[in-house]
Amino acid sequence: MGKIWGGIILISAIYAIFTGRVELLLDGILKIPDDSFAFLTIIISSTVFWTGFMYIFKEVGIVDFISLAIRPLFKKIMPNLKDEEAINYLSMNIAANMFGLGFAATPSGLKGIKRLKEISTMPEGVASDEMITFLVLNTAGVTLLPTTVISIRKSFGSKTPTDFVLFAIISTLCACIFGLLADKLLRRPYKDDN
Amino acid sequence: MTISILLIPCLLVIAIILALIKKKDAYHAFVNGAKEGLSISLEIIPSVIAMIAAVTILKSSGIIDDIASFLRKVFPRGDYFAKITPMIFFRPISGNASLAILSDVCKADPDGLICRSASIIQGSTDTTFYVIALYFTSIGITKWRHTLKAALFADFVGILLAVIFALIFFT
Repeated sequence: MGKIWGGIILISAIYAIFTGRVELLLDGILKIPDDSFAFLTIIISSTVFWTGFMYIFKEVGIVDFISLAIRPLFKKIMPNLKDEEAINYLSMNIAANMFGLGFAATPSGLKGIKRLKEISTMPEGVASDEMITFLVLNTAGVTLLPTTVISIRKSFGSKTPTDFVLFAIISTLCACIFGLLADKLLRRPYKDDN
Repeated sequence: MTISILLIPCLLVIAIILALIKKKDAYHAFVNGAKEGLSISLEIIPSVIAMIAAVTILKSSGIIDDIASFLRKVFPRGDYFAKITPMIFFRPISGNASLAILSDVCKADPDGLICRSASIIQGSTDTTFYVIALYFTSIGITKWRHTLKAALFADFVGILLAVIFALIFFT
C-alpha cells in the first residue's frame, strides 16, 4: 500500500506540474484537511449509528441464529472440516460480517483461523484447504446493507441513496459463488518444493 | 425499487420488536454497539486522511479527466471506464481509499451513473489483500497457495457484475 500511495502522489503531482495545473494542484492539497473533515464526519457518525443499530441484532440473537443457519452450508463447502469449534468461529465471522459488525467478526475470524491451524495437516507456514476456502468466502464480503455508502450518498443529497443495494447484494453473492468455484478448480494437493 | 426503500425501515422495526420479545434493552445494545463503532472510527482516522490526500491530489492533477476525454474519443463510454477505473483498482487493496474515491465521484452527482456504479462496486466485495494478509500473518502462514487467485477472481466477478448492472439499470 505504501508504494502505491507514494506512487500516486508522485505521478499526479509531476503530471500536474508538466501540464500547467500547479495552481489547481496547490488548491487541491490545501483543501485536503477540509475534505477530510467533511468525509470523516460522515464516516464516523455513520459507523457509530449503524454499528449501534446492527448491534441490536446481535443482542437479540439474530446474528447467532444466522450463524447457526449457515453452518450446514459450511459443512457443504468444507466437507473435510469436522472440527465443531472451528466451524462455530468461522460461521460466526461470516454472520457478523453480513451485518457489517466488523468489530465482532474479526475476533471470531482470527480465532477460527487459529483453530484451523491447530488441526491443519499441512507443513508449518502453508495454508490449508479450509483456510483458503474461508478467506475466499470472507473476502467476497457478503454484506446485507452497505451502510457507509448509503450515508455518503445521502450526505451529498442523493434522492435515492439505497437504489444500488439489491444489485450490490446480487453481485457479492455471485462473487462469493464464483470465488468458491475458483477455489475448487485451482486446488491442487500441496507438494513441498524444499 | 420498493424493496430498497422498505429495507431499512423494516430492519428498524424488526430490531425493536425482537428486542421487546426477547426482553432485551434495545437502547443499551445500541449504545454498546455504537461505542465499538466509535473506537473503530477513531483508529482509522489517520489512514483515512492519508487516502483522502492521495485521492484529492490524483483528482486535482487532472490525469483522470485527461484519460477520460481521450478515451471518449477512442470508443463510446470510454470516459466512463476511465472514471470508474480508480474505484475498481482500489477496491481490493484499501477500503478507505475506495471509500474516498466513492465520496469524490458522488460529490459531483450523487445519483449519477458513476456514483451508482461505485456504490455497487463498494458493496460487491471486500478489501481482499488486506483481509488475507491480516489473517495469514496472524497465524504465520507464508505459503498462500491459490488463495489470492481465487479471491481476486471473486472480486473480478463481483466488480464485473456491478459494472454490468449499473450500465443496464442506471443508464
